Order: sequence, then C-alpha cells, then structure tokens
Amino acid sequence: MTTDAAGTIIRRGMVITGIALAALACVYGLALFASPTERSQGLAQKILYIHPSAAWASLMAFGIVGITSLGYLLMRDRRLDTFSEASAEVGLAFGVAMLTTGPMWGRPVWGAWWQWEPRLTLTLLLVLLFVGYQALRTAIDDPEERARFSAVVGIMALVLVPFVHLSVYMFRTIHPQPVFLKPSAPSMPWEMTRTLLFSMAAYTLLYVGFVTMRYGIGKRREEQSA
Amino acid sequence: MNETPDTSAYMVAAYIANAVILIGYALSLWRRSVRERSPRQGE
Repeated sequence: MTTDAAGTIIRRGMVITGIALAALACVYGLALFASPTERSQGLAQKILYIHPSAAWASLMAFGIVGITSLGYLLMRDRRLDTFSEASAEVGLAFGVAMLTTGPMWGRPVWGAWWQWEPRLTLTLLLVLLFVGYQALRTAIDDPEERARFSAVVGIMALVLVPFVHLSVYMFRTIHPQPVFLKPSAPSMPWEMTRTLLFSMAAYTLLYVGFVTMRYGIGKRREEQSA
Repeated sequence: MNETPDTSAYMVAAYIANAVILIGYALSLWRRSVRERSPRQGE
C-alpha cells in the first residue's frame, strides 16, 4: 500500500478553501449589512471590500512566485517549481477577480470602465505577464527546462510587484491610494476598516486553500508522470 | 445637499462576478483533483 501524499495535501487544501469560502460569505454579510453606505459613491463603494482584497491576494501570489522561483534557481528543488506553478495560477484567478470588480467600481465613480493610468496599466501588464508564464509552461515539455525558464519569468515579474503597489505614489494617478500598507493610519472609519481587514484575511486564507489544492494537484501529476 | 447616487446595480454585479470567479475556480480545482486521481483507482 502506498501513501497518497498528494491526496493528503489536496484534502487539506479543500478544508482550508471551504473555511475560506465561508469567511468570504461572512465578508459579504458584513459588507452588505454591517457597514455604512458612503454618501458620495452610494452602494458601489462596497465593491471596495472585495476589489482591494483580490488585488492583495493576486500581488501576494505573484510575489511568492518570484521568491520561490529564485529559490528554485538557487536550490534546484522541484517542489519550489511546483509551488511556483500553483501560486501563479491562483494569482491569475485573483487577478481576474480584481480586473473584473475594479471596472465595476470605476464606471459609476470615475465615469469610465477603464483608465490607462499607471496603477491599472501596470496591473494589467503583470496579469498578462502571468498569462505568458502559463503559456510558457505549457509550451515546454522537458521538466527541468520548463522549471528554469519559468523561474526567470517569475523573478522578472517579482520586480514589477512593488512598482504596482507604489505606482500611486510615484506617478500622477486617479487610482485611490492604499488604505493599509502605508506609513499613516487607515483612512476609513472603523466600521469600514474592520470589514476590509476581515476581507483581506479571508482572501489570504482563500489563497492558502487554493494554492495548497493546486500544489497537491501538481504533485500528483508529477507522481503519475514519474 | 447632494443625494446619494443609486449605484446598487454595479455593487450587485461586482459581488456576483466575484463569487462566480472564486467559487468557479474552487470547483475547477476540485474537478481536476478528482480527474487526476481516477486513473489510479483501479490499482
């Protein structure tokens, strides 16, 4: 009898994902029923309880790809490549959520679905870079070559991550500045800050659940192809 | 005094789209995990 290590990882990921999705349902409840409505934007402001969290999870996922990619090039540990692949795909899922919900806030508040301004443009470039990363992985058959080439792209993308976060300070932009991850105190009332903090925690947990499941799937594929 | 604009449709659309994307991705992971396992079940 063989132990199914990948299956155990996948099951753990499913449990974490289940808890995180329940937390996401709580975020919806908090946002809709326990947070005040902002006067000038109306209910569209409540999109900001899900959009920045998706952006956070996406940037975190892409940042981790860069770090694990660097680790792979230094240590040549296949597990780091499998994790990079998992984190990149999960980052894309959050990236799609971010790029879908953002314009739905922009349309009523800015009067436009999209603006070619630095934050949005850099974010779109980062997401497209990871679409290319996935295409690259699909195109190369040799596992060692695929891991090496993908790691280089992952590290290049890591360089872009801080620019995306700091773009609202570095350039003239209409995108709102960060509520957290800045030198000064959060720029929202506590009832709103609480919901956004809870949302960011839920998305972080969702990232952990997703990436654990996806890593387990990657491990299982490796076991089956070995 | 300015009235609060009615932007509820955008909020509803964003919340539905967000849930569809994230739950859809969770389901795709679950389906892939089941599909990857199935060839081994006969062993």
